[in-house]
Amino acid sequence: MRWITLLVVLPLVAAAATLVASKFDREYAKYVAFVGSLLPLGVSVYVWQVPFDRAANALTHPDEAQLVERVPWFEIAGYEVEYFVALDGVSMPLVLLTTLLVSAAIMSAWNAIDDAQASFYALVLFLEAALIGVFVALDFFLFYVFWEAVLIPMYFLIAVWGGPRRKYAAMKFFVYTNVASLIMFIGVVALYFNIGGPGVADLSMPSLTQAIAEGHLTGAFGLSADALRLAAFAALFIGFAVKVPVVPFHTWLPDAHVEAPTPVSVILAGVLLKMGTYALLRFNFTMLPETAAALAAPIALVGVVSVIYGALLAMAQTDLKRIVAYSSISSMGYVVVGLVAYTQYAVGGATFQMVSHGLISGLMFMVVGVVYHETHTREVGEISGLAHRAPLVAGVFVAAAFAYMGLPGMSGFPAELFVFMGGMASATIPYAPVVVAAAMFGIVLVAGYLLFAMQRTLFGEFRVGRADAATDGGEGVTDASLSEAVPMLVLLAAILALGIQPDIAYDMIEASTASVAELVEGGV
Amino acid sequence: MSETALVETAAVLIPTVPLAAFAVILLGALLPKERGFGGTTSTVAAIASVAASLVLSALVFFETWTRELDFVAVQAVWVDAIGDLPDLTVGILVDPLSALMALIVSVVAFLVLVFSKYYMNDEGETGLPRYYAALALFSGSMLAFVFSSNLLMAFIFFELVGLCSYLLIGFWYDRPSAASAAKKAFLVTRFGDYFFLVGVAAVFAGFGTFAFHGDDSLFVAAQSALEADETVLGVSAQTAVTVVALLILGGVIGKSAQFPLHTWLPDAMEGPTPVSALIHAATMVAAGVYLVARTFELYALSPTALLVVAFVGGFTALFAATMALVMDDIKQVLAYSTISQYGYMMLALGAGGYTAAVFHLMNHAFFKALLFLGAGSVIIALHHKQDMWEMGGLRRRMPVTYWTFLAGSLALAGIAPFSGYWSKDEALLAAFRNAANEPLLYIPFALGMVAVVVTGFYTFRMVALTFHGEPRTDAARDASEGGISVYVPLGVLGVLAVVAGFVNAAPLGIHALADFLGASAFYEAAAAGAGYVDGFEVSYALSVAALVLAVAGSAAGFKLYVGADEPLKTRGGATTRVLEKKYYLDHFQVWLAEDVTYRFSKLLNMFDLDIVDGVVNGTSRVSLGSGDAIRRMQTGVVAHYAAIIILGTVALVFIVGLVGGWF
Repeated sequence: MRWITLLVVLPLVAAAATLVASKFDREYAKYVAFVGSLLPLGVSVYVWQVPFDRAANALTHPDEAQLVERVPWFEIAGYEVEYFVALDGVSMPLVLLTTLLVSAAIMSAWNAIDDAQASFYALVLFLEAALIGVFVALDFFLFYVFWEAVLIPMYFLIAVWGGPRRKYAAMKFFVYTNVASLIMFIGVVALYFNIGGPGVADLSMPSLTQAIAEGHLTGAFGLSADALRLAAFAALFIGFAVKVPVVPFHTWLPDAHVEAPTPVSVILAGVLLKMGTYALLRFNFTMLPETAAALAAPIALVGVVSVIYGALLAMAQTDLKRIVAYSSISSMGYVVVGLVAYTQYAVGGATFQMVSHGLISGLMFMVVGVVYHETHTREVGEISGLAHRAPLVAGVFVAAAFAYMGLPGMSGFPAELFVFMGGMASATIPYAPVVVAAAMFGIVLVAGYLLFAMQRTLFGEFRVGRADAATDGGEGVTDASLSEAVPMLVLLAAILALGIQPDIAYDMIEASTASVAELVEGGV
Repeated sequence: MSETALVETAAVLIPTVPLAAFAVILLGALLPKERGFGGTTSTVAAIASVAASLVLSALVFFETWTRELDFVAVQAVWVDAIGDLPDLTVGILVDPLSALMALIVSVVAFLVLVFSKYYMNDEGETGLPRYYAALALFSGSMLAFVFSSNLLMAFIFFELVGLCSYLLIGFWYDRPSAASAAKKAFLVTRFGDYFFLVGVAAVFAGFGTFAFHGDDSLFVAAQSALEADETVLGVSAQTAVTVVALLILGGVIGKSAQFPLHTWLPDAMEGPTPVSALIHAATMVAAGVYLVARTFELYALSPTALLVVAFVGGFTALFAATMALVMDDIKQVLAYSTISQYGYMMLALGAGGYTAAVFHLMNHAFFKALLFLGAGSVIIALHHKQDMWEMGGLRRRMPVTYWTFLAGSLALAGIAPFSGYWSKDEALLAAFRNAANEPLLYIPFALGMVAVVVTGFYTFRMVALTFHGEPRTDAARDASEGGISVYVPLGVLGVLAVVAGFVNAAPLGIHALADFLGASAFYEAAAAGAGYVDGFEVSYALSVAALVLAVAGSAAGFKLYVGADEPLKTRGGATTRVLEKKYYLDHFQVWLAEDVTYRFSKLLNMFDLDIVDGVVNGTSRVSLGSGDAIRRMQTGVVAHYAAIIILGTVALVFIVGLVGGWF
């Protein structure tokens, strides 16, 4: 069974079915799309539980890659391009995250999206196919096709269904990330074209990893091999850092989030940002470990700055969505610190954090979406005492906020703990204990702004609107409807499950990330 | 191990049963209203679960006592690591310290829950499932913390009890002050926990183990690193041990409300009074002190860390006691008194008085829970009035409350033979005896001695204002006290306040608690690691001096306030003002949070929008020729976007071709 192909194709089929169904009745679209999204979710869970085995990293140990499908496609400039897909402990959890979040996002869209529903759901499902493709592709050309394919539905989802400044935000997102893609593309191609010795016959990522590891990289354009490696590393890092996003390449994110409709924010924060960290792990940290280790100090600094700067900016915001958007920047900073630490717990924890943050930020955006849907405002000062009217929303808000703070019992805790433990033991980062301790201060800042936001919006007397304005007092505000509550509770259950028993995901992750940590001396 | 199977099962069940009750109440709340749980079901579920824990704790305590158990009952892998990397585990450590602490926690929790039924279950209180769910979660987490077999597990439950504290302080969340206090409590303790978590990560990276017990414990690892004079995390082993001990102390200072992170505790009095009794007096606040006792073998390796502990404790004991002098709210007096009393425990630990600290922890848990419940009884009688100037003369209307409160007050003031006297005396003795070797200890010792007078004064000021004199309001004239669910908790705790001190009345030659705890091993550890004495010889002079000071302070406080009809505070000048403003420390912390951090974040936000994002927008403007181009692009014509995509792709192919040498 070509399970992975099935995973990529099913959302496309569901998208087509959604468009067709809507021709019969406009209302069908949402149900067809939701049921359609359950298929890839079901398949990914089945694949994870049955045919998938915990295995080493697909790039460093290609023989152990799971569910490999490899078909020659065409030839370009003497390189074989293949349809080459597989899974390992890094991609499997991200595929699961994608299928779960897309289903949750689609259900949460039932209330949130009114216009052009069929096109909306079809684009979301198309996006899902592209996202799964990014995580499973092991041929660079194929990877790049999926990588770019993600941008198109995302662009339209923001530009058509977004808020008042949607055009600006969508264009900024598109141009910014597209320029980054271009830089990244140049970096990768420069690597492929300068493999000397036996060279590489195909554009597969494992082949490139092996060839670089065996020292076949040559110089070019008057650059030495080391200089080329450094230049390629920089190009890749910048290209992916925009997607993560890492400070100072982050300014597209708050705009995109604020303007995007809730379900799109869920996928944007939950999955799209992970493309950046996933690619950093795959390319920068797995293919070019020596360079990464040599640059550990500046990279770790970038991670620490992202954590602290993102958290401080989140503190300055009054729009709930912007708060969550900036705190995503902060949370992704931990991933960068974990990756560059090159220890088992740190790299594994960074990957675990990708999954954990995907669930938590998705949940947080859903809650904010429901708050907005009920009160028509996201300004912290304009809502108060929501817990009276919407106890379930308030309860999930509190739970999601504590998950964001890394409270034990929720997935954020093991994720951050692993990064911190592994980071302290790092042999690559100079003065690792001090650097990691500086990053850890993020856990105080995140508590600061989230507790403050909760106090203002959830507690106190019930009121909607500015304190001094005569308003309707939020007459129409009610608790979450069933289609809003179910996806939130499902995500919360996943967050709790991973927090109480991290090995559910960590067991497969560490098998693949340990091989990355081992690439650098002293990586335990 | 079959002969310990019973204890193992019991020890696992002690935290699990309340946690299960929490899950049941929570799931019940998710059901539709008509089928969901009401207040009664959740009350019963919570009380029954803690009652079960109490019975099991008594069993474990008895078995530990009679059979001298000291073992890890259950060990499970939490995170299974690859290769040589240590797994992360969770386990139940049964030893004298955990068995005693579990018994204290479950006794107080049970009595407080019984009292809660009186205090909380009013008609119209709709949040009861939330209240009892949070209390069940608290009881389970606290007991799991007590039995933690390693530092990581201890941290996990240390944080969870902090969550419960947040939820319960903010229980009446429609009161802005309660919501604000909850936030402050979590944030301030989180600041402490940050250091604790850094310490946890450093212990892992430096010593490779979190275990509290056995040959591969972190204490053994630290000891052998010291002996081999290894380099740990880039510094000498001695420095590493001291730094780690001080980092963990950060969490302790936050949780046990020690200076300078004590500011959250008085605000936490916004929570319902039974919560104050259980969480913010008897048990959760004790978690910090318990953690130092649990990791005492680590502290014993660092004379510096021990001294810091002693100084923090001695200073806090006096510092907090002075603020209790001027408070008008009965719960505020008790809150500052709590901070001060935990200062004594820290002083004891820092001075090597392991038994004294645990002893005072136990006594304090009983008499402070008693005082809070007594205050709760008064507050209910006065329809939620907490200002002592609106009370007075309550001893006639509320005899049971009065007599038990008096017992608790005598224990708090440290008047023999009530419990607090014996343990406070022992704490001071530890500082006194070790000061002979470490003269710096005379400073915290002296602070502790002065605090004895102050403690007596504010305690009997409180007794006089609340129960003596004439009633100052109508509410006080008509006060009455409740039924069995008030009398039972007050009675039991009242008896404990009288008799608990005799388990280790050292001046009378009784050392039962020290023997039970195996304290001599800890004394020897401190002797080996920090040059402390390996046992504390009784000083009758000190015992008498402490008693005289306590009686003098108490008598003065009582005499000055017993006939007072109106606040004396107008007589105060600058000193009173400083005390009432809590030494301006709260102001300073708010300033730090709002005027420094928050303002800085606002500035940073402007920087981000104008400079960082400005560069981005500027770049796009330059690259596209003019601002007009951008505006035209944003007209939303899909063809424009398509053109950009195509242009981008063409450029891409061109560059690829150029690089790859296709042309």
